Amino acid sequence: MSKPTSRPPSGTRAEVRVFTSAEYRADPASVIAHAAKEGTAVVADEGRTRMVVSIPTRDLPVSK
Amino acid sequence: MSQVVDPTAAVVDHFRRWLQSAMTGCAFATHLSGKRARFAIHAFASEEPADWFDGALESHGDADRVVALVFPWIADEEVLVRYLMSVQAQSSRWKLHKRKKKDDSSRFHLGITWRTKGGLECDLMGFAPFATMPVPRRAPYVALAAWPGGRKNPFNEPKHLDRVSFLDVSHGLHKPDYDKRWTKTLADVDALMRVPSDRSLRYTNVAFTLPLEVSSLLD
Repeated sequence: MSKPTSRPPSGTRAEVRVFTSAEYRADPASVIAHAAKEGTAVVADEGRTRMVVSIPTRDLPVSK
Repeated sequence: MSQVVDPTAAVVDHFRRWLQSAMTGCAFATHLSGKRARFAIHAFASEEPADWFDGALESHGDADRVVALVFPWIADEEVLVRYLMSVQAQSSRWKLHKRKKKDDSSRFHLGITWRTKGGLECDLMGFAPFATMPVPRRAPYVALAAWPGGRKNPFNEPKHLDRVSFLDVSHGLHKPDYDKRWTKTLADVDALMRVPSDRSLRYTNVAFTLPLEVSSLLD
């Protein structure tokens, strides 16, 4: 998979990797594998978020 | 220090906290939704094509992971049904089913299945902030949840060999803990369905319960 080509959407945390929709459609498993490793992946085109994927990388405390 | 977060990311966080807070009454959802690598949430900012969901469901199935697809942009029942019809038209893996419930003719019961890589029909579970939905599934957003990973529950004897559902989830629990969570789930869901008077068996293979008016969209 190529490096992300779009800018992170406004307000997105800088460390979250942003993939283009073309990258996601070509290889969704790679985007999801990134989310599984880092916790989050974003798919966006030209600064507009289209999808956010979240997968916990550690056990989360149970909400009260 | 406060942190500005993308609105779609905030939806993901909200939905996960809702699941973890036992709002569904399901002790397995509470347990799994916060477990490392076990429960993925995808939130979509707008309408996306069916192949986005096929790719996600297949990848998570390969990883033995529960997945929820969240659609915060869907605000009413007609938009939901029209969108699901569009997804069905785009991918042969998706099927919408009108389910008849003899003891409940006042609402439209919609089942949704997705065909796994292994050819099993995966029953999807729906969530929505609509009054016609059963209380345990009245979520803050419209969402679909699935276990696309095949039969991985050693304590569940499948009734239908061609189907897979949340009863088949890989949970990693020992039998005593599993049984304890089942007992708690049955009691808590029952408690949530007393007012208005309802019962969970009505929702077997049902993703959404909707106003009767929208059922004609599927004719």
